[in-house]
Amino acid sequence: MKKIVQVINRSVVQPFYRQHAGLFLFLFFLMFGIQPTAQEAFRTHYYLMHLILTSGNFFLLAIIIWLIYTIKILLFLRNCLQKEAYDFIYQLNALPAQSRFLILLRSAILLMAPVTCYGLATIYVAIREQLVLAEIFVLLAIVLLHLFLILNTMQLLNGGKAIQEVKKTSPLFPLPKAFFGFVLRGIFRNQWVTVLIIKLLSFFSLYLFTNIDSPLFENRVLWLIFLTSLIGHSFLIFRNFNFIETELHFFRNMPQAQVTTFFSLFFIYTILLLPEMWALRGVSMVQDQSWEYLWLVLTGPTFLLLLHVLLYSESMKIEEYLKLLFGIWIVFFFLSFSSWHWLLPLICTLFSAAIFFTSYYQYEKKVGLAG
Amino acid sequence: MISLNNIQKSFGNYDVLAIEKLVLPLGLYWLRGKNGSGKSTLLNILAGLIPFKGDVVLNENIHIRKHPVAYRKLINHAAAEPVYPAFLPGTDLVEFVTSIKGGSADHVDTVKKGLDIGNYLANPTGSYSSGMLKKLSLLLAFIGNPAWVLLDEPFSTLDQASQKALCILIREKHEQGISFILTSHHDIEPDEINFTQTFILKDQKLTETNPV
Repeated sequence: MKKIVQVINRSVVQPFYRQHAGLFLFLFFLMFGIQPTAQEAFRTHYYLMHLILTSGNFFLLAIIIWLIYTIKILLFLRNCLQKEAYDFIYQLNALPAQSRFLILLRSAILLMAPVTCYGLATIYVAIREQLVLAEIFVLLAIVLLHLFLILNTMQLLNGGKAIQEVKKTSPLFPLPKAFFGFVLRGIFRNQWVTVLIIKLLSFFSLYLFTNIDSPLFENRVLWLIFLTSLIGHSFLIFRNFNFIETELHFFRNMPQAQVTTFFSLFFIYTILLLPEMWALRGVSMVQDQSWEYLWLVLTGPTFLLLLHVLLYSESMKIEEYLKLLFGIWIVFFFLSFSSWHWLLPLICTLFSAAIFFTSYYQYEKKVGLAG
Repeated sequence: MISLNNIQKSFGNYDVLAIEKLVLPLGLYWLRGKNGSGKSTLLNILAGLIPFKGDVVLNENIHIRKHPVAYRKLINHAAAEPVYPAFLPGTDLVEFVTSIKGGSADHVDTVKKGLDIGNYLANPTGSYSSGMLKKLSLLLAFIGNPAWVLLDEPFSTLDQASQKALCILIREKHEQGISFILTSHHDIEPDEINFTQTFILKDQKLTETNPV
């Protein structure tokens, strides 16, 4: 059984964390990076946990976020099982139900570790504050989420290879049969949970901050949150890039001007950032800083475009890409502090154009030898 | 006419192609070679899908790098193992390629009939068998007004009737002035396709053999 657990960890658990490294990085910065000191971060989270334990609404909110995370794991597992490369996992069906459950439990514990850690810390706060009933509720929620994950995974396995069939679905809204339409459909179809999580977090963090009282409002903190939420899109961009370069690879044979492709990518990321643009309206309406709002709105899509075209400069793995983005995040973070931060959209556009027009046709994915 | 000048291609330290000079007048060409000899790589280069060193020129004045749009308008390609977004119906891809490469719905219907493509195109490509996917890629390669069509292993995964239908379609299109470069491990008889020239790709070089 130990060997089976090892194989599942290597083929499912590790790829899950590797693929979602960008999202975790974004969440980490959002949860711990925006407070000035570690003590301040500790106090904020202690207060948040206290709210989860004492307010029904906050408890519900926490459960919803944890549930979204669990669904994200389930969709990842579903995605794996849809690939023929993962057919070996169906061999688990040959084991007795009890052994199967125990194997999946071990994997579930690892996959749910971020939720479990935060939940256990909340339980610790509940014990300190003698909130026994709330403590039981949090514990029950964690156990139920684990069970939800395991039972659903078992159901996916029981369904066998039927999961690999593609069903015809109608899109919610018609998108044009063009490059950007296909890419947007790819994003909303293949990455909708990632989109939902990123949009929920970035929308609410930007909306809440831009609508606070003016004396508390600080432009530099706003830029920090905004740039962090943009960097949080890195995993989505990486997957989107790979979708274009594998499933839409034939597009390179299409007689489409490079400049059209460039503006198509810009358009895709503008559409993707519409929730953030809406959330940022408070900068103009509440904080009365219309110019600042304009720079933020212009920086968003051009920054995401830059993150996308950087991938054309060299065939990169997600780990290499994230390292590069960390450096870019730091540079842009300091640039946003300066009085020249209005140049950011221009810098992003110029660099994006320079990289795209020199690298697009030179890019080649590092793969095995072709026949 | 298509000219290949100083084509070099390597993957890492492994050199795949080194073709000094090759000029192909309009015609039907069969590219042969062992697995891994670089046939698909050469077609991918000619289709503008992958980078390489050197130059490819169409009709003496359309360079692959200087005129990427004009070049791609005249070159169509069907991959050996085509991959498309699983959620997209074939009809969407046909409409998309037609909107970029040009051509009419009637022309698409003619090719569809020629290749015996049924009504499955309205379904997502993820539900297709490898043969159905192959036929879709072949249909896309015939869309527009190409001067050259590059077909990478076009007969693999096709049933015998479809293979014959494809040969007829290639002959018909060639009579209309379209040139073809095919790679195939299948033995193609002269009465099926009468090739202008056959090439063998070996040790990174192309060697001409007698017309089949």
